[in-house]
Amino acid sequence: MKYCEKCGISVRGEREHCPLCNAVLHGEAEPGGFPKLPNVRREHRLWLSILALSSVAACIVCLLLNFLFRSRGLWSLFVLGGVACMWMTLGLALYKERNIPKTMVWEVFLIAVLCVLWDYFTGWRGWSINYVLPIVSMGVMVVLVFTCRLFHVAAGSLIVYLMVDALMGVVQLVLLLTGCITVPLPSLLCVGVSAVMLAAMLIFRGKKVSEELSRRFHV
Amino acid sequence: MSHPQFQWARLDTAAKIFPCTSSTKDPKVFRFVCELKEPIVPQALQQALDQTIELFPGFQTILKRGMFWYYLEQTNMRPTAHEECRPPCSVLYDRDVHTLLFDVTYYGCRVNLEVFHAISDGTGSMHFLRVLIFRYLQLVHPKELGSLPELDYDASETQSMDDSFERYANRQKKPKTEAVHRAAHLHGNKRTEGLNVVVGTAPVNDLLAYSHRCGASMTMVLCALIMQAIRSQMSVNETKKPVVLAVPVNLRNHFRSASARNFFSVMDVSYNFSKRNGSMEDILQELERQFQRGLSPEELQYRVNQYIGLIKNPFSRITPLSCKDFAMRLGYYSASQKETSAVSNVGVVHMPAALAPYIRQFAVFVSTEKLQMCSLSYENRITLSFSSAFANTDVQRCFFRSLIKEGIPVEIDTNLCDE
Repeated sequence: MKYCEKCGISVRGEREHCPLCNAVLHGEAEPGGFPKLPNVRREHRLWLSILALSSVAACIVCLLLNFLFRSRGLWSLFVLGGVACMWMTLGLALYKERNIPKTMVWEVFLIAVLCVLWDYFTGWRGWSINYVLPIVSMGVMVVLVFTCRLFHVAAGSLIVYLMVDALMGVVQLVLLLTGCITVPLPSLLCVGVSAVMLAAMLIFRGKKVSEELSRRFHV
Repeated sequence: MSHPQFQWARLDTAAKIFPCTSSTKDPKVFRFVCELKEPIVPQALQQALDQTIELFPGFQTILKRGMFWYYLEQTNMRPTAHEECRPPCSVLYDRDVHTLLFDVTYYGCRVNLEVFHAISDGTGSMHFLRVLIFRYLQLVHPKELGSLPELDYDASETQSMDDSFERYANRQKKPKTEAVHRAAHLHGNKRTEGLNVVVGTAPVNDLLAYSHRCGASMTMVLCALIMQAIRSQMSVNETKKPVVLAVPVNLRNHFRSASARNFFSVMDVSYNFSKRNGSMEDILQELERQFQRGLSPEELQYRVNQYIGLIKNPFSRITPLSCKDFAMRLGYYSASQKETSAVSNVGVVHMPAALAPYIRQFAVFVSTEKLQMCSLSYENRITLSFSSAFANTDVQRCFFRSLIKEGIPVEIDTNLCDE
């Protein structure tokens, strides 16, 4: 074993210097108990940085151009809003990247909210609740069922995600009944599909569903 | 394999703090190490692991977020013993990916068991490692060890899954304690990645003889030495504040419990170098007083009751988990401001005498955002392991040099690399 004369301590491993006082060690090396691991610094996300810089640059250019041609109105705000929305959805996807079904459910929520906001700030034409909301939540339901087969997600988690998705269906029913929706076909279809999906879950996996809910909601 | 009685379980009372305060900096993971005198055979280790997990249902779980609380769910995932490939005490719990909350790795002659604190504390995990090593050695040396009787750990499934806090809590009032407002803190550059681990090994006899000379218990002597080592690294300004060491107390020694989950509490001992003379005798005298008070029956009962009130409170129960997470993190942060460092003496590991020729030593250390010392003894070897978030090893140097000065030989192993 190596020996540090300054500290009076024996040191295992093949080090040249004492880990405590940095003095030179003497003696024969004896294998230590810690493997030499490669220094795994997180790989720098170069592409993300490039994207970040180019979006910031685009925003600045648009703001300047807008300032130059002021007569056309504040169109640069659309660009800023678009970039902000892109980063929000991308950020969420990157933050939650390791759990795909969960990411999808969150993304749908975010996209729905963002669309409603866009619709609202561009003079409420109702496209967000007429088309986007029902199509997106129906799409997610189908995709969820497939991803769970592909990624072997436990049935318990699937139940919760489908529940959340079904909740969006309920929201649409409320919008339908209060007359906010002007083109009822997509929403009707979505509400129907959600209801069938919920019923199927209760009929085939009723016990699992109640077990999962009692776990998730225990106080 | 299935455990008929257990499909999911609430986190035990002490464990509730760990999922929300776990981060990449301090993932609340601890590692138990058993070093054998021969290289590990991976297949046998895997086989032993498969047998061991059957006895510890609490280990074969994943952690999930509910609406109000985290909970453990039984899973069919099987643990695999693999070669060590990550820095010690890396993250085990990831809220987005459900994985087992413990990991068995090997390197050279060593078996490492890393455990996320939410499923078990030191005592519970030590049982796991003991059974694992016992089975492993039996598999590798069937001729010599095949006929050994089973280990002494025989808790039933319900016993091993017991939340002993709930069992022993009552409504006793809090005893009066001296409040510390702010403790002295260590300063220095933190490491960018991973823990800085220094494991020192010394003969138990020598250390015991030294404690006898001082007229104190070994834990107290170790605490005193660390306090002095920390003192030597403090700035003048910091010395005005007391040095506070957090000392975990294994409540199983005071309340009957065979739980393999968490059943421990933390006691703070402090010493103010600006108000007292700082000699070994004086520190030990002060520690003696504080240990006696901290381990008195009333104080121990209070420790069991500590969180129960909060957890049973109807308002806190129906607060959504994300709000609770935030509040618990806040509480944890303010509590951590009142502590300088931590010292935990896990105690003595007992293994059947027939295994002694195969085992060199045991060790334990834990992830931390500060500096922490854990000690563990087996036969005549005690391992004193420092884990630290700091890049420097000044406290460790002072501590080990003071042992050397008392004539106690020390052998060191570390994961630090030469620059």
